[in-house]
Parts: sequence; structure tokens; C-alpha cells
Amino acid sequence: MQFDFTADFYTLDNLQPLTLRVAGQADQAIPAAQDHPPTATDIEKAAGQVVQTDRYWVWPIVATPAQPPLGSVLLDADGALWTILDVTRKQRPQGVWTAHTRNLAVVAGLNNVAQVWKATYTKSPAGEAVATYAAVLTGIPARFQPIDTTEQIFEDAEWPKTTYHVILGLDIFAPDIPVEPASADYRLVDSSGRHYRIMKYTRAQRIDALPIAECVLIIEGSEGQAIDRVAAELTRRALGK
Amino acid sequence: MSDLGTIAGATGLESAINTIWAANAALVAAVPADRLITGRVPPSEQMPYVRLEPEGGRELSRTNASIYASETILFHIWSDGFDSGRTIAALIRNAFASMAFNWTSGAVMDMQWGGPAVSRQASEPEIKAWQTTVTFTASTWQQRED
Repeated sequence: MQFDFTADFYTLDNLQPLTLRVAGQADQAIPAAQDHPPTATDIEKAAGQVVQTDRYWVWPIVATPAQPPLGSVLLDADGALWTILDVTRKQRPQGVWTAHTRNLAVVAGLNNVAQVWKATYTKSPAGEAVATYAAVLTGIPARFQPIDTTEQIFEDAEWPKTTYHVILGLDIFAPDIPVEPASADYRLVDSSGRHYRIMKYTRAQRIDALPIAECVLIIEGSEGQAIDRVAAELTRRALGK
Repeated sequence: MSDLGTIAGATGLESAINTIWAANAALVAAVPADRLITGRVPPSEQMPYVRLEPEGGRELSRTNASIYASETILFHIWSDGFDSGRTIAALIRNAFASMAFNWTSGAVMDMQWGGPAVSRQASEPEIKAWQTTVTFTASTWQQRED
């Protein structure tokens, strides 16, 4: 004899409504779902600025009979989005879906914002392609995580080469975003106006992790002068002027 | 050839070049004198700057008091753009080509311009600066110190 406890599910305490959001489909209401306490970690070891929160959700199969696609999203009562990483159909006796979901976020803050700038070119009298950069994407949540800084001597000039991993809250290597991240045409710009050249872009279009742009801070020439401006501003603040 | 005379305070060829630079309003307007560096350049974000490279030379002859030599002097101009590098190269040519000058223990009898500057762009992905090099061959004499 098989039991179906679906009806009993609705007698549980602390149930909350969810919305299942599947790309290309209308939202599906889940009247009641049970959650397990979420676990938050700084998986990127990025000074606590990139938070990965995992949470398990359970809801009756009758609410959403078709298996939710991996990568679809549950929207909870607080407006948080939970991406489904794996889902288990527990047909009997429970009659429920159990989903492991993840919320990935860069902590909101004035320093955790990036812009993408794109170059347009004009020709100098001698024919040099002179780049002028302008913003094409703004307000992207981003953590500029310093990785290392190394001394290098290039043509008898000394340069610190400083690399960053920029963890982005928006995947800019996506079909609907006309950006080629590692092209010389593009720069990431932080909240202080510093320019970064993307050397490598990884983890695009993943459902379990945020994308990372591996960058080098540009310190030379007209693009690098933002460093001087930042230093001047810090000095001004330190002196209370 | 023009004679700039004695360069006050100069102690050698590189010292004289730095002093002449500092006194040349057109050069200073393009590249401040503190951004003309002999040898390795300290960490720098600003462009342009100029690295003076005394490449050395060969002795032509010596007397009981003096050594006559032919010395190669390179001015490496680092600039954001090609054109600004070429503009500075022209200013350097105007300031030093066919010039004579002396200091307390030696002199340049003729700064021979090595011809049009050579430009190339840095190949590092995060560095796009131009290096424009102006070459001179200086005919010098110096007092013997041996």
C-alpha cells in the first residue's frame, strides 16, 4: 500500500509561498513551501563581499507537476532569487520536490560597483588609432578583489603590475550583452574611476557561481592617471581639506 | 653648428643635457625637467617622460691631458600617443642637434643628430605607450683623470 502525504504537507508550520520562474514561461505560483535554514559563505574569500547562500526548498509536486529545469529560479516572499542547482522528485510517500538552490550576491556598497567602457577610435594625424572610452554598462555589482602586485621592469622603467579578480553580479559575457570582455576595446572601471584591462573572463553563464574577470590595473598614461586622482583625494581627506 | 657655451653647474655630459633641458622653455612645456631621467625610471603613471640613455662610445684619440671620444646618446620618449612622441622628438632635435657646449672638465664639440626618430608601441596588453627614440652621436673631449 502506497501513502501520499501531500495533504499532510500543508499542515506543517512556517510554510511560505514561492514563485517558480522558468525562462520563457509564465511564473508559476507555489502556495506553500518549506525551507531549510540557509547557509551563507564567502566562497571567493573576498573579504565577505561575495556571499553564496545555499538553501533547500520542499514543495508539493501537485503545485508544479513538471520538473523545474536546472537553472530556473525560485522567488521567495522576501523577493530573493534562488537558482535551482539540483532537484529531487520524491514521489512517494511524500509527493514533493526537494530543490537545492543558491543565491549569489555581491554585497551592496558604494565601492562594489563597476562600469564597462568601450572604445571608439579616431585617427591621429599620423594615423594612430586613438581610443576614447565611454560607458556602455553601468551600475554592475562587482567586487574588485586584489590578487597580487608584482614588480616588473619594462624598458628600464619600473611598473607595479597589479592583478584583480573582479567578481561580477552581472554576466557581461552573455548572448544578450554585446560585450567582448577580453577585447582591448573594453575596460572595467571601478567606483574611483580606475581602469582595468580584462585579461581573462571565466565562469560565464554558470548557475552555481558568479563570473570572474581577471584584470590588470592600468597605471600608465591618460588611463592610468585615475590612480593619481585617487591618491590626491585620499591625501586631501587625510589632511581634512 | 651653434655653441651654447659653458653650462653652469654641469659636471658631465648627462648633467649638461639635463641643465640645457631645464633651461629650454619649449622642452619643459612638453616634458618637465624632473621627468627627464638618466637611467632607470622610477614608478610612473604619467606620460610623457624621457629616459636618457648614455650608451657609451669609443675613444678616438688621447693626448697627455684629454680624451677625445664619440659617444652615442639616446633619448627615449615615452608618450601616450604617436604624435606627441614625434612632437617631443622634434623639440629635442631642435634643442640639441648640431649644438656644442662645455662644462668644467669637458665639452661636446658637436651633437650629431642621428636622423628621424624611431617609434614603436609597447606590446604589453595593459601598456599601450609609445617609445620614440632620438639618437645623437656626440663628439666629446674630457680632461684625463688618470
